[in-house]
This record gives sequence, structure tokens and C-alpha cells, in this order.
Amino acid sequence: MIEVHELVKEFPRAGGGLLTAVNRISFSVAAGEVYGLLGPNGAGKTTTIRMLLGLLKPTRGWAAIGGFRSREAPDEVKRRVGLVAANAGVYQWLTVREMLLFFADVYGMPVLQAKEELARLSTLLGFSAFLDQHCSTLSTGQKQRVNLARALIHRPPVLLLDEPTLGLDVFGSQVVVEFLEHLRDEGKAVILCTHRLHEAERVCDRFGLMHEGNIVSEGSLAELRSRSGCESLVEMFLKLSHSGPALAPSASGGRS
Amino acid sequence: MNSAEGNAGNRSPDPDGIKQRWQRLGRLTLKELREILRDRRTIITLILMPILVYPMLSIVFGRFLVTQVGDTLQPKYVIGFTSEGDAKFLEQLIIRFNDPDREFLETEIENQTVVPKLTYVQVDDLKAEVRNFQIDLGVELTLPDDPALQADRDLAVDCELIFDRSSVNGRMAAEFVQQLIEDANREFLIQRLKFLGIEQRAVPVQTTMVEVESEEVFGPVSLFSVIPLILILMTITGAVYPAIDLTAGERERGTLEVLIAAPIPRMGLLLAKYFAVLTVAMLTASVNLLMMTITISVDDVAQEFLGSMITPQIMLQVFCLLVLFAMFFSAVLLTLTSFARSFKEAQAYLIPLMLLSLAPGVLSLMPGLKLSGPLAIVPLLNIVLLGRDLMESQVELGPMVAVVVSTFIYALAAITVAGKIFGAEGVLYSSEGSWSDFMRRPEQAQARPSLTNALFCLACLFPAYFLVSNLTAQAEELPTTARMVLSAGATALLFGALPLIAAYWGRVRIVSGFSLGRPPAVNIIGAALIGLGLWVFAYEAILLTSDIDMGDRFQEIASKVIEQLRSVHPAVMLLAYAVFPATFEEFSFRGYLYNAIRPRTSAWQTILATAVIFGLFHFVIQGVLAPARLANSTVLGIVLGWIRYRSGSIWPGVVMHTCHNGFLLLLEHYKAELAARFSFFAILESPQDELTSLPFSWLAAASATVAIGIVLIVLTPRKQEEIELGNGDGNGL
Repeated sequence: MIEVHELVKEFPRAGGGLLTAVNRISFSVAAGEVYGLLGPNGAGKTTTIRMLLGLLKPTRGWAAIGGFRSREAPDEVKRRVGLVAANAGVYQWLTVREMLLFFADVYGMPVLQAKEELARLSTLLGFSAFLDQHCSTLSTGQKQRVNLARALIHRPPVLLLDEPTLGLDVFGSQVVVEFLEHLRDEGKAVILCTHRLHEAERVCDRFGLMHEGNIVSEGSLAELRSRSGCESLVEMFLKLSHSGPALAPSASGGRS
Repeated sequence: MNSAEGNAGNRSPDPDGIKQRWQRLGRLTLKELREILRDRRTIITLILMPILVYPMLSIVFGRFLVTQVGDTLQPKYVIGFTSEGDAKFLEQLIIRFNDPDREFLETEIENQTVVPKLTYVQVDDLKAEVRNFQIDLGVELTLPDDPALQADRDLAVDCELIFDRSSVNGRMAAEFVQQLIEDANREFLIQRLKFLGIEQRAVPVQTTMVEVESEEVFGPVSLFSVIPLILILMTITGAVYPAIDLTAGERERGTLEVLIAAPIPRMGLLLAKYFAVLTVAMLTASVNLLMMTITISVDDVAQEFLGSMITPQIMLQVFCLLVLFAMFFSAVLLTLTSFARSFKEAQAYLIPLMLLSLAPGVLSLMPGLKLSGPLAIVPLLNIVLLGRDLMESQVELGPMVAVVVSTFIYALAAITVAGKIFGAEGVLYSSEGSWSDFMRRPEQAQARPSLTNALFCLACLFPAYFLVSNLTAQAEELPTTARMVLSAGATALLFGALPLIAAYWGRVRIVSGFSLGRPPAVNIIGAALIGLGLWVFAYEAILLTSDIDMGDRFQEIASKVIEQLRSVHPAVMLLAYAVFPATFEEFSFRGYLYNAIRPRTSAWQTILATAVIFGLFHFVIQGVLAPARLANSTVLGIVLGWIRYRSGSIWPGVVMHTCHNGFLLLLEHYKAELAARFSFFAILESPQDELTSLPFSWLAAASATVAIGIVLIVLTPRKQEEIELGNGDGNGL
């Protein structure tokens, strides 16, 4: 469902020269799979997500969703993706219902179908009670649930989540994690970027560990454990941050 | 290798038709409006500000007037006479024949009886002194040899009261003195009637009010300039908040990225925001106009000075002007705020803009500033001046069209620039300043110009053309040949050099960007035939539009040009009015502009758009409006556009344009000789107002020539380059 091939992104530096934010990374995610794209700040996770969606043009390489390359057919890609960005906000002067139906409309969903989906998602994510409240009155956890619903309202087969539990309390995070499991069961391909490694361990089927623009290791948790000799993702992260990209490169093209 | 490769570059067909796109744009705009109109900050600028501002202005204005009149409410008028005799006569007239029960010279101000302090001065030139604000009122009398004031005499004195309408003191002094004279007249008549015992109908002293327009730069401010300036500033205030909130505000709140991540064209998103900002600006303008009207209607002082402008027609005109301004300014605002990452940053960008906007606004307050020449194309200043002229009911059509067209072009250019910036990768995700991204030249050579680049070029070209056209008109002292050479040079500079600079900036390849490729030879022949035959239709078009009143100034210019054509060497005439304009106008319109528009729309729309713009450039000639030229040039533009479309090159158009202009010029130049040699050319010698339709045989011959030309072009296969430019999308003709 999601394919990334030799993807590179370079930004011009303020003082001249180029900054390589993403360096020839390759991976793929199948339908019904949750892929954890993990790494410290500045590793290139968000840039990768943006290139996947066609919001940023890759310098080299390509990314494709459902067979459509993001550079050549960005609209086709966008139709198939739900995005929860790290700092995604809400329209404070619209009600939850208005905002979600607006996004359904933006994605070309018929009104009746959109209303059905809204009812389903509001029950599933537990925000039926404040559907007609202005978004400005919602708490952080409520806003994030609305954002999840916003990303899913057009029933995309792919979901890109960038720090979806950022700023949420334990209860809020729990709702998101449980919902991700539900999405996997629905057969969606999900990429999850997060710092909350214990959540990632619990919900992701495979992982790509990023460091300074490279995928330094990729595989299931068991594969990463055997390759790194570390028991948990936290240990792997610490090892990564102290020794740099010392973990063995993945077979899928990550370059150290 | 994988499934992605199989689909790379393949889009599923766009499910949206034009109707659906407009509907979606409407829904997007509605959502933006819903959000912005629920925000109390919008409501404050939209409703609360106008409700407070106008009554407050009215109070300040009233106080200002009172202070101008005098601290103790005692008006002080300086009255000028050209001779001591005039002053004495007037004083005697007033003293002898005024109401004996009334104290001399008393008057009423704000319901209080006051005695104005009059100062008499003797001056040489009353009008000059009024203009210089040295005197408030000039009194010019035409006295008989013996101006004795006796009831037994048939006294006949002409009296002119000379004052500046923009001077409050001047107006009040004139009204005051006029009243005194009227009272004296009445008394004189009564006494004379008694003496003669006959019915006296004539007024012995006939007064005439002579208004002098101030030519001084510094002097009292015209209130009619202040009002449009206030309205425009208030409209700006209304548009600023929505523009920031819908761009930088969305970015700050994190809703912009998810909107950009949706499958909607960025231009569609921007247009929705643009229409929302424009709507709020127009609402603000309406509320302001309404509040201003109410305030003026209920305030006596304001009613006295501004009451004349409160008519539905003037209000509608001013509203249309504000809409035009809002169209332009909303686009400028969105361009700036699209750069900003936060609300604060956007505000920081807008402060210099507001200050910049104030400069031409304040300039427009200068009394005597006329909306003409270059001032008609200075953004904001031209709108304020046109607003003032509308309120004073002194609008001239030529400058008004220049204001409307230039503002419209500026708005179009601004919105395309905003489209380039809004949601662009470099702007959305860069932490560095993004102005340089916008100004940066493309890294790779471009086959054709971008729409932004071409419209930017057009936005520079129109005012430059307007200025040069005015300057050429003023260079009357130059010999005719020199003027024609100058005109040819200006044409080359404007329509050649400016697009070339734009092409350099946009790294556009010259040959493909201007369609300079070699066309099929048959197309050249076909175009030449069309050019040779088309003059007959141009003549008929001139005949058809001869009923349109072009005004004396236009007739004067036309006569001068015709006179010049006969006096110069035909080679100079052909170069200046045929070869140069044909070549460089094709270079600009059917070359650069056509290539910028064509990839974005169908061939028909491209031809029409370039033709209308081409027509608009011919609408104003030497600062004078020529409506007939608009229609003729637009039709010519359509023919030229079609030839460009078929041939994929500008050269056949250059040939056709040259043949068309050249043939008409030669006919004009040699018409006397032709008429002498061939009798059927005598028809061309008729005076302008007696021109008649050409004989049928001429029309038939010309039609046949044009038809052969068209057939030759149609039968030649279209150039591959043109097919690629339009993506072979079946939008062709």
C-alpha cells in the first residue's frame, strides 16, 4: 500500500550548502500493518511523511501510495491518505460536526455518507456528546480525538500519524492506541511516528529506526532485538543517540 | 519492479467538472466566512468601529470648523477690493440701505448672533489673492462714472464675489456679503419704488458668485478627499484581520497543513480565502458607507458641507469603487500574510504596508490635485482621487477607465503572486525568510513564462505604457519625424524590453517563450492576405462606430495624427506605426502573454484574454479614451490570436499586423494621389463625418482575400509546439 524508494530530501541551508534531511530511505507498508517510524528529533520522520503526501517534493527517489506516486499524482495520493500532523489544530469557530462534515466535503464525500461516517466515528472515538460544541471549547484530548476523526472521515486506506499522542494524558493516549489497533483490524496501512516508544512497541508490527535522515535499522521488534542486542526500543534509542548510527543497516536500503 | 512504477504519473480522470469546481469553491468560501464572521474580532472591525468612528469624526469635524471660524465664534473675514472706490461704494450701500433695526454686520453662527470682523484690503489681482489664501473674498464691482447712491437714480452695478469653495472662511464670507447686498438691494428697491411710484421688477445690484479652484498645493484640505480616504482606510481595517487569520492564523493553529493535505488545488484554497477576505472587506465598506451616510444626514454641520454627495447614485459609485479597491487590496494582503508563520509576524509585515498606504492617501488630500496622467495609475492614490471626483460629480471618463483597468490588473497580478506563495513548500515549511524564494530565479531554463511572471510584466507594462503615451502627447514641440521615431523607440522599449527583462528574470527561453520559431511559409502568405483584406473591414468598423462620441480631445488627436501622416516620409510612418508596433505588440501579447496563459486554459480563452488585454491597451490614446478602438483592437486581437494558435509562431501575426496597419497608413498617406488617379478612391477623400460605406465590389474582393488567407492557414497542419503547449487537450478550436 505504501512504498518508499531511495527517498532523498535536501534543504538549502541559510548560510549556503545543503542539509540532507532524508537520505535515500526505502521501506514499504502493507495493508493491515502498523509501521512505526521512530527516531529522535530531527531524524527526518516528519519530512518523510510530508514527502509521502506530496506536501514536500523529494530531491530524489519516490514515494507512492496505492500505486500513485506522490510527486506525479499528489491528488490521488491525498485522496487515499488521512493525516494527523504533530501540531494539527482545529477550526475554533466551527462546531465539531461542521468541521468534520467540511473535511468530508473537501475529500468529495457525499453528504449522507459523510453523516453516517461521522456518527460511526463519534461513537467509536466517544465524542458524540460534544458534536455541536465549538472546537475552541474542547480539551486537548477531545481535540485529538476530533483530529483522528477528521483524518478518517473520508475512509482512507492509509493513515499517517505524526505524534498523535503528543500532549495527551494517559487516558487520551490509551484511546489513540486502542483505536490504532482497531484501524489495523480494519485493514488500513498505518505509519506511526512517535516518541512514546512503549506505545509503539505495543501497537506497531514493524519499525524503521531513523537517525540523521537515514533508516539505520528496520524490521519487527524481534528482528531489531536480535540485531541490536537490546531488549527494548528505549535501549535501542539510547544506543543510537550515544553512538550514532551504529545499528546494523536494514536490508531494505537504509544507509548508515 | 513494483506496482508504483506501473502507475507512476498516471492520474485518474479528474472527477470534477467546472460546475463542481465552482460549487466546491463556493462551499470553501462559505466555510471560511462562517469561521471568520463568528470571530468577535471581525465583528468589532466590521460593525463596532464604523458605529463609533463616524459620530466621533463628526464631533471632531464640527469642533474643527468652529475653531476655524474663531475662538469666540467671531468670524474674521479678509475682503479684497481692486480700488478704494469699490470698498467705499459697498460700505455705503450696506450702511444706507440695510435694515435699520438690525445691528450693522451682525450674523448668525450656530444659532448665536455674532458680528464678524471685517478687514478690507486693496489688491491688484483678486483671483490670485483668493488662490493664495491671502484674502477670503474678493469683491469686483463695475461702477458707473457717478456711483451716487440715490433712490431717484436707475442704479446698475455688477458685483462679482470671488472665493475658493474649499475654503470654509471664503464660503462663509461670500454668503455673508451676499446676504448684506441682498438686504441692501431690497431696501433700495423699496425706496426707489416709493420715489417713482412704479412697479420695480429688476434687482438693481446683480450679484454673481464666482468660484475659484485653488491651484495652491498647500491650503485647506478638500473634505471630498478626506471622505474616500477614511472609507478606504476603514475597508483596509476590515480586510486585515480576516487576511491574517485565514493564512498566518491557520498556519499557527496547525489547520493549514491538513487543508493543504486535502486533494484541493492550492489556488482553489487561496481563492476561497480571497473571496472570504473580499466579502468581509465589502461588508465593512457597506457598513462604513451606511454609517457615514447616516452621520452626515443627521449632523447639521456635516450636512452643510457634505450633503451634496448623499445621493443613491454617488453612493453606489463610491461603493463600486470600494469593491474595486477591496479586490486589489485583499490580494495584496493575502500575498503578504501568506509569507508569515504566525499572527504576530503577519502583523509585522502589514505595518509597513499600512504606512505605505497612508503616504499616497495623505498625498491625495492636497487641494487642486487632479486625477490625470500618471496619478491615474498610482495604486490607492488613484482610488482616493476618483472617490473625491465621484463625490464632487466631476468625473472624467478617461482617467476613470485608467483607474479601473490599472487597479484590476494590479489585483490580478497580486492574486497570482499570492497563488505562487500560498502553501508553497518553501513558505510552508521553511524556517528561513521566504521572500528570497519568491524572488529567486528558476534554476533551470523554462520553455515558457509562468503566469505570475507574465502578469507581473503586464502590471509594469500598463502603467509604463500609460506614462509614455502621456509624455509623447506632451512632446508637441518636437518635429513630427522625431516624435514618430520617439514613438517607435518607446514601443520597442515597452513591448520589447520589458518582456525580455521578465523573461531573463524567469529564465525563459527566448525562442519558445516568445514563440519565435519558424512558421510554415503558407501561414505567412495566409496572414499577409488576411492583413491586406482586413483593412476594408477596419474601415467599415470605423464607420459603424463613428456615431460614438469620442470627444473633442480625441478628434483633435486623430486630426493631428492624420496631419502628421501626410507630412512625414512614408518609410518613417510605416516604421513607427506599422512595423514597430506590429512586431513588438505581437512579441508581448501573442508571444509572452499567450504562452503564459495557454497551458492553464483552452485556446479560445487564451485568445480572448490576450485580445481583451490588447484592446485595453488601445483604449486610452495619449491620455484620452477611445471606446471605438477598444472594440476594433479586441477583434483584431482575436484574429491575431487565432493565427498565433494555428501557426505556433508570432511571425505570421507580425506580418498580418504590419500589412493591416501599413495598408491603412499608406491609403491615408496617398489618398489624395490615389483619388486623383483612380476615381473609385475618391470615397476615401470624404470628410470624417461624411464617410460612406465602401462599394460592394470592394467588400467582396476584401472578403475573398481574407477567405483565401484563412483557408491557407486552416489547411496547414497545426505546429507541434502549439499542440504541446496546450497539452493536446482537445481544447483547441
